[in-house]
Amino acid sequence: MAIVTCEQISYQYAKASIHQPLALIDVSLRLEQGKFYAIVGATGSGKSTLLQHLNGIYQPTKGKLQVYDVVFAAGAKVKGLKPLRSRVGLVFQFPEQQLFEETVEKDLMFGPIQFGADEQQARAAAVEALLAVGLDEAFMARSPFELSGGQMRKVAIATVLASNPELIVLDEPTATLDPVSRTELIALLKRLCVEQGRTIVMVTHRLDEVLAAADEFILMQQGAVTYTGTRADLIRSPHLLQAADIVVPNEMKLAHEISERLGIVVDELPSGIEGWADWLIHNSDAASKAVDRYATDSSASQQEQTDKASPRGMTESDEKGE
Amino acid sequence: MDERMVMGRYVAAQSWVHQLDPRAKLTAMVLFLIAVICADYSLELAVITAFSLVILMTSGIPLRRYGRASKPLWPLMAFMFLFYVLFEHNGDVWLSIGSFTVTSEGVLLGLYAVWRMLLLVCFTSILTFTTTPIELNLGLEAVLKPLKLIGVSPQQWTMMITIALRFIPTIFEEANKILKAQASRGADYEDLKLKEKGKLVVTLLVPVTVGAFRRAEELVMAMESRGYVLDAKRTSLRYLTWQGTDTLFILLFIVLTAGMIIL
Repeated sequence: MAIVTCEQISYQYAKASIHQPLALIDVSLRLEQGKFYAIVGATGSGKSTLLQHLNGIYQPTKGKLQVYDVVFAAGAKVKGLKPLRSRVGLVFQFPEQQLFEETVEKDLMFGPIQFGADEQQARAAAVEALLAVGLDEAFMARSPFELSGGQMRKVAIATVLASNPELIVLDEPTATLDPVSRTELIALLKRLCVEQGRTIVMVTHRLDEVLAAADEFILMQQGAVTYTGTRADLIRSPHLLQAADIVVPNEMKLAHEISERLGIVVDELPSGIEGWADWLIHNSDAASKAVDRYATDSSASQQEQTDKASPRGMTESDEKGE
Repeated sequence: MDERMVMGRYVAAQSWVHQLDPRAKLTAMVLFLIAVICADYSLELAVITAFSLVILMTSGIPLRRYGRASKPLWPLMAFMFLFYVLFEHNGDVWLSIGSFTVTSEGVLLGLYAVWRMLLLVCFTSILTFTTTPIELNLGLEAVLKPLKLIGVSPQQWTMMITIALRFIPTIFEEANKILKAQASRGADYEDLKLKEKGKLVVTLLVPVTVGAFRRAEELVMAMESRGYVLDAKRTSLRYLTWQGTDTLFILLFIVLTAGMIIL
């Protein structure tokens, strides 16, 4: 079931100005319930702008957007978006700048209370969200402004999780997180997606961190969507990544090298060191054959090179001899 | 929010006002302030208005923009007007409600006060509209130089003012970010009733203040790590050049101000 449909939406920041370029150009998308989407693109490609359309913070300048049962048509400002926003949780970029209450507890309870929960329910949701992002209950009483950057970020993500949204939209949530928290966060999102059927839309400029977790990939470049599809399709078309100025993940480079040099096509990209080890065990026959072939090929070509080199050497010495 | 914040922003254009020396503009502003304060009659205020209108209209910036610059001060102006109307007892009594009386004098004084305020805000906007921050900084430093005699460093003050001006849009951006986050969590500023709007704005105070302090601290460290030393002798990439038109500009204001003081 499609929960979000974009039909050729465009967005311009300052409407009055002619010089202002479009931040989004003719974007058409369909997001399905219960999938993990990764929006990948270079800086300034319109990822954040697109994301903020999903709960009506920005509304399209052109085109039509539907999120759940709310329709945003160009030119008509939709108000009263509270019901939609209780279903769509949005974590902005630099989430540490979005905390505003005196204590972490109050900040976490703000959303649930706004969406109609009573104090007890809100507190329970707050604790649950805090534990989910890997912080313990001791944080509840602290002021959000005395936390470290990474802790603030986790709290900010928890503030959105506390409202229990069906669609969770995150704008570069892993930037500035340490590697451990990074993988933990992605694992948490994946769990929410798989176990509870929530839809995740995550923006990142690092494809490698979502390569294993995401079901669908959306590439953006200069305000336009240049590709949507699954991982398998993406792996087959690395040129798209280069065109969109996205760093090709090492795993994809490795797969590419293997198919180039050994002639083995890596169709389903293994993830992580263990994944690659498994892959190697599974394909050990093909791999060893390929390696043998590669070894003979390279020794043959070396032989060829020396063969080529020697006659010239002879003629040179002949000339000298004369 | 960004579009509405027009006060204190440079507007690029080619006009004789843009070409003027910032020192001349700053001095002229002070003279203008004195003139406006000294003007007591509608005729005097009308002369100043005509005078400033001519300059505003030739500044290459649409008049509407100056009008918008005064917008944030409208509530203050309304308050000033009311204050005069309600508490001035001289003149013919037009209306009396309880202990309050509305008199002709009160209305007149109230109108003058608003008029003066408008003149000041619109006209002083010309300074920030037509002068780049760098020029303004250099100009301020030059104008404040005499303060050195009483042990105040003009460099420190201009640096402070420049930084303060530079961070106004940043702080608004930060507040806007929090408003967006609150909207996403169910408290949309635009959908709320007036009382709730007030409450929401109060919640901005702490994070924005904390953010400003954090920013200031980071800025100090960044400046020091790049070798900034307070009151060190500095060279300047740009130099101000005083021209004939600058002298003429100042003379115009001296005549205006002298006229207002004498009359």
